[in-house]
Parts: sequence; structure tokens; C-alpha cells
Amino acid sequence: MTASSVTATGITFFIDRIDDTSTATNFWIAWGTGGSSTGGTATAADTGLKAAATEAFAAAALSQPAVDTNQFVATITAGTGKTIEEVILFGGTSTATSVASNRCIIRASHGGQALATGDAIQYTITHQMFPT
Amino acid sequence: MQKPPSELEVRPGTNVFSWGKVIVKIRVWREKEQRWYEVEK
Repeated sequence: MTASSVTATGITFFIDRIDDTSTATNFWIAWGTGGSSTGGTATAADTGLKAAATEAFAAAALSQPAVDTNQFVATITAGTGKTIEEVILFGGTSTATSVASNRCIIRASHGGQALATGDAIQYTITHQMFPT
Repeated sequence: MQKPPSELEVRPGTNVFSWGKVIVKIRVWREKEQRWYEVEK
């Protein structure tokens, strides 16, 4: 079962975008194996992956399918066999090498996907904001 | 139907803005089979 959340650092990211103090120029998607472990379910307090996998981050393609919605798409290919259970979207520079120095905007934990070498996951992360 | 922002009623302690909805869709590529699989959210 998928759990997903805009994180607290994601909220600061939105605020910084408005007053133009965000240094992020690119969006990245990263995956991990820690979605089902203790504390692995996604919450707003998350600041990164629970257990990052070894594959490089993938640059996310950003589009705006509606005026209140952003969509991020990226594909990551498994370098070795593993079970992927979590994903994050974060903002960074054009050469992001770590999440800690950037900002985790969204994290999701999902049902494990057992991958063999060369298998891949294409993530489509859609974020809609609206007044309540 | 959602009201435009100018019509929103603002009261102390009331959230008038949501961080919205996040949907994560997953497609899995199986290298051995050379095809994509749609995965339920």
C-alpha cells in the first residue's frame, strides 16, 4: 500500500519558491529499500529516504498538467537485484549528489517491487494543491 | 464546488489551505521480458 506525503522540508521549499530564496534549480527522484522497515511509512516529518539504494538519482521531468498541479516523471534502472519500497522527490542543483544537502519535497513508501538487474521503475509523482 | 480564494471564509484555527494531494504512479520495466507493467498505486 502506498503512503505519500509532502514533507515539512517540502513546505519550506514552496515558501522559499515564493520569495525566491530557493537555490534549487533541478528536481530529482531517488529510490530506496526502506519502505516497509520500522518507521518506513512515509510521513510529513521525512527528510530523505529510509534506506537509499545504490543507483544514481534520476533527473525528473517537470510538467504542469493543470494550473494547480505539478507532475514529475523519472525512471531509475536497477544495477543489481533488489526490492524497491520507497521514493522521494527533492530539489537540488544540476549535479545533485546527495539529498541531505538539498530538500526532500515528497516521500512515498509503496509495495515492494522486486527488481532484477536491468529492470526499472518509472515514477510519476503528481502534486495537486488546492484550498480546503 | 471549490470557492475561489477571495470567497474563502477565514477563521482562527481553521486551515484554509491544503498541501494537497500526492499521487505516485509506478510502471515497472522487466528487462527479461522487454515490456512495461502498470502497477496499482
